Amino acid sequence: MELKRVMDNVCWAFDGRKRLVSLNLTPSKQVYGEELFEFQGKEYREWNPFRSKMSAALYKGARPLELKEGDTVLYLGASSGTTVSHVSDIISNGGKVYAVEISEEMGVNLVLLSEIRKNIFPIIGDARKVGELGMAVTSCDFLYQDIAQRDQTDIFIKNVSKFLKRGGQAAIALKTKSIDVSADTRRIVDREVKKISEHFKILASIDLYPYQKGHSLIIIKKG
Amino acid sequence: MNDKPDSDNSKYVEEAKKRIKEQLSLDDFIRKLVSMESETKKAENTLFKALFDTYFLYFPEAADLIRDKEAFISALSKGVKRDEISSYLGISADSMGYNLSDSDLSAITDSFNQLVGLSGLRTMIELKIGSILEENYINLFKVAGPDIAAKLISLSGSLKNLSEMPSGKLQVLGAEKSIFGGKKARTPKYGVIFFHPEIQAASDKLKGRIARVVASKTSLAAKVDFFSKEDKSGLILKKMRKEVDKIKNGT
Ligand SMILES: C[S@@+](CC[C@H](N)C(=O)[O-])C[C@H]1O[C@@H](n2cnc3c(N)ncnc32)[C@H](O)[C@@H]1O
Repeated sequence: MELKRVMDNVCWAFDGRKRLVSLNLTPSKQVYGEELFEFQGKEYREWNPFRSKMSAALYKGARPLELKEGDTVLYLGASSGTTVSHVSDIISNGGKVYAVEISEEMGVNLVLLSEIRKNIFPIIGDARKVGELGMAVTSCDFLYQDIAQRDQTDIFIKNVSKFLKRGGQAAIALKTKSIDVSADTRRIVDREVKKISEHFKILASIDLYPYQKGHSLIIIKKG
Repeated sequence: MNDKPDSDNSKYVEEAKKRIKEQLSLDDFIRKLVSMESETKKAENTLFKALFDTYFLYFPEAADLIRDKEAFISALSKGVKRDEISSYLGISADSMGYNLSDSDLSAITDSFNQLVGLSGLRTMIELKIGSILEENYINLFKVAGPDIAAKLISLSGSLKNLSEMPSGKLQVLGAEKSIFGGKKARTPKYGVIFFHPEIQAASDKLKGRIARVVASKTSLAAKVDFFSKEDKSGLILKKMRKEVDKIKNGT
């Protein structure tokens, strides 16, 4: 096996095929049934692009995200913590990921995960009202949103404006079906990207097909 | 840059646990029961098909007469051997099928017992769903019936969501799922409400209009259950009856 660094604690692993992996913060523990690898005394977890949009974006050629060890991350739409767990690997023990999830049912797994991974700060609440959720920080180094709601773009713009530090990167996983079931995917993405571009600089817009159908990841920078 | 950063996550974990505990509700349990019921039904059907095929190999002449699951179960409960089942069905015990020894037949008996067990389990879950709805959501229970009511709660996520939903949307709830044999209509007219006795009893031509009435009364029932919990089902059912009759009589 051979590793090629992508970003902090994330590599491409080559062993006949090419797979994205992250350095396991909690060795020997799996989060969602992903494969674990040993390499030179360290343990890595496969980061599955079919399960995680952030991984899918890297598979589709996204430049490495500006997300690094020690960062404070605001993650909206954490669900049961699949992608959050990889963010937790990346930022490592010195970092913190505030993981907001509205559904108490999804939140159960997220809480169980947070008990093992101490850099995950779970918050059961609405991404529309992050300011009211009792979070101690008012600024983050990186913001990620994946919430499949009709008003997802507005929620993103609001939260980036409020919480992301200047010069920081953020990404949103756009689910086109949540915005408009009938309209054409490309048109919706174009329209939402345009809306976001009125506030922030668009770095990339990546169609996640075939890993995630009907999804695009938009990466921005806050000026 | 980050002010007052938290040094450890335990406060957040505790707070999240508290929120979860407060927010989990009866509707979550109903959703899980609905999914248990449908999964049990699937398991039951899968096992039935496989067992039927095995039985068909052994005694095709008998199996041919009991292709329906209920008929199959009641016939085999009299005994699985050719002489037992043939006398129950009034046919000859001679068969072109493959002979099985008593010890081989135990594979059929064991599977059959599991099938009966699954079937009983499904009935038990259905009864449980029914009694929960009757006890907590009497208007929905009476107006939509326990099965449809539970599915509507499950599909919308909660009684609250259901009570806030326009009745036009309630009417097509579940239409996305392949309840009609996987074919997805472009503009679906009905979802799970389609199985309501009033709609089932209506002629094809009137089904659409009657579905609208049933959906609006079901929506009303959900609102009453959510806001007052009072039993207004008699009144709602009377109104529904009147409107359905009006449609049927073409007035
Ligand atoms: C597609 S899933 C996220 C998957 C996750 N990001 C991952 O990759 O592991 C979307 C999640 O967003 C949550 N969600 C939807 N609306 C929300 C809101 N307004 N605030 C917070 N979370 C929300 C849903 O409950 C769901 O768990």
